[in-house]
Amino acid sequence: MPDNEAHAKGYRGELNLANRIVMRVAGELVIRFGNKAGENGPDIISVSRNGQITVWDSKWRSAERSMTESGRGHSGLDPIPTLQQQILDALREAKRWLPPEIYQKALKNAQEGNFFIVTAGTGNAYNAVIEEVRGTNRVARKRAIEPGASGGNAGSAEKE
Amino acid sequence: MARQFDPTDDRAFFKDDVLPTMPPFTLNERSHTSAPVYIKARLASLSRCYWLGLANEARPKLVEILHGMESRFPPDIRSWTEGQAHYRAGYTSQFMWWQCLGLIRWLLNDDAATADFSRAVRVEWAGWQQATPAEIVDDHRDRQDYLGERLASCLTANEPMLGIQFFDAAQVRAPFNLGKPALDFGRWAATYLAQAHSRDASFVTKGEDMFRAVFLPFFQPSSFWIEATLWLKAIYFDSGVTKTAEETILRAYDLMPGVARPDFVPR
Repeated sequence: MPDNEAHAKGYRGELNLANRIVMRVAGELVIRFGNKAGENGPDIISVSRNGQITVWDSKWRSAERSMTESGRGHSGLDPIPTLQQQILDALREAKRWLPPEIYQKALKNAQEGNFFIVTAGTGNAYNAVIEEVRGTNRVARKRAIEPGASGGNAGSAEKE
Repeated sequence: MARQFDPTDDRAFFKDDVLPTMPPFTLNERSHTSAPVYIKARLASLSRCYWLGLANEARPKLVEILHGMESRFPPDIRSWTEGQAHYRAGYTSQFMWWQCLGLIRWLLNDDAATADFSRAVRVEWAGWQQATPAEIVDDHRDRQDYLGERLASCLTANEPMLGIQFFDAAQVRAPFNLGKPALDFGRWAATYLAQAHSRDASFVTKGEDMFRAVFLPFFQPSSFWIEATLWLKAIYFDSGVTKTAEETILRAYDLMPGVARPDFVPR
């Protein structure tokens, strides 16, 4: 367990988010989870059954609030090349257990720079911001409202 | 899940899976605004090949990128509409363009490419100066996370004063960041060079100490391959200790306590 309060909150947020992914996004396989405190990288990387990749960041907030676009993680231009390398690392580690057809599709998406970035509220924050990256280019961004969360009940964090 | 660097496993992954399935390089199909990130993402994989003893496999792909870049203009900052894009999107795109060009020229031709790196950091600094106070607050995390890459670029551009300015402007607040020793070295090195010292033995030794402390806990698990490559260039190549890009990068294996020297690294 992390020995620093901020890191402990971050760790709880990651655990909470990982459980939400497994419960709410059908068939999603978590291929990376749990950065060491102080490392740079997404909290979680997952792959769907059709090889679609999602990198997840949890944003822990003590005060009740909905995630906004300005609070999203991995914004700007710098993170995209790094995220692509981090996804490749996660796929290398998961190759031993991922079904080969999923691995191949995910590797193709990683190489082409196609993935989603989801910043999800944890702690007392709720909802999420989803960004689509195609060909290493950010192409779309929207807020997603989780069923049962405060602030509305339309839509979900499920991928297309 | 603890992740340990296994260069032999990483090499096999790149040789057998990544390089054979790398999509064709299609710069002509990219807009001016999307080209720099596309190039940098490709360069991250190809520079990593040099770490894995796969430089010969990477070179033809780097030549392709170099020819593509030399056949078109860098992105025009005015392509990013004011008010609709991030305040430094155009500047950072140009920074990436010149940084990639410099790094490719070094990897392919052992050319220090100082002029390219200098253009890169000068335009990026111009971008940082466009920020409003509110944008500085919003951008704090990104500025800090990628400050190390800016500092290493300043050193390799022989622009130490700019390095000091980047460091001061970033207002580093990262007591738990495992990459902080790199930022501290960058600040020290920029000051040292700005005081007209040369890249002498003291510079190299401090650089090695930094790299030994930071590579395994931070650069490698964070996949900061381009930043790590730039630091090695600034420490070894630009000081004259090494003569080629490949030799410079493989020196990293002298600075990884606990990692067995892989067979593909010459003794």
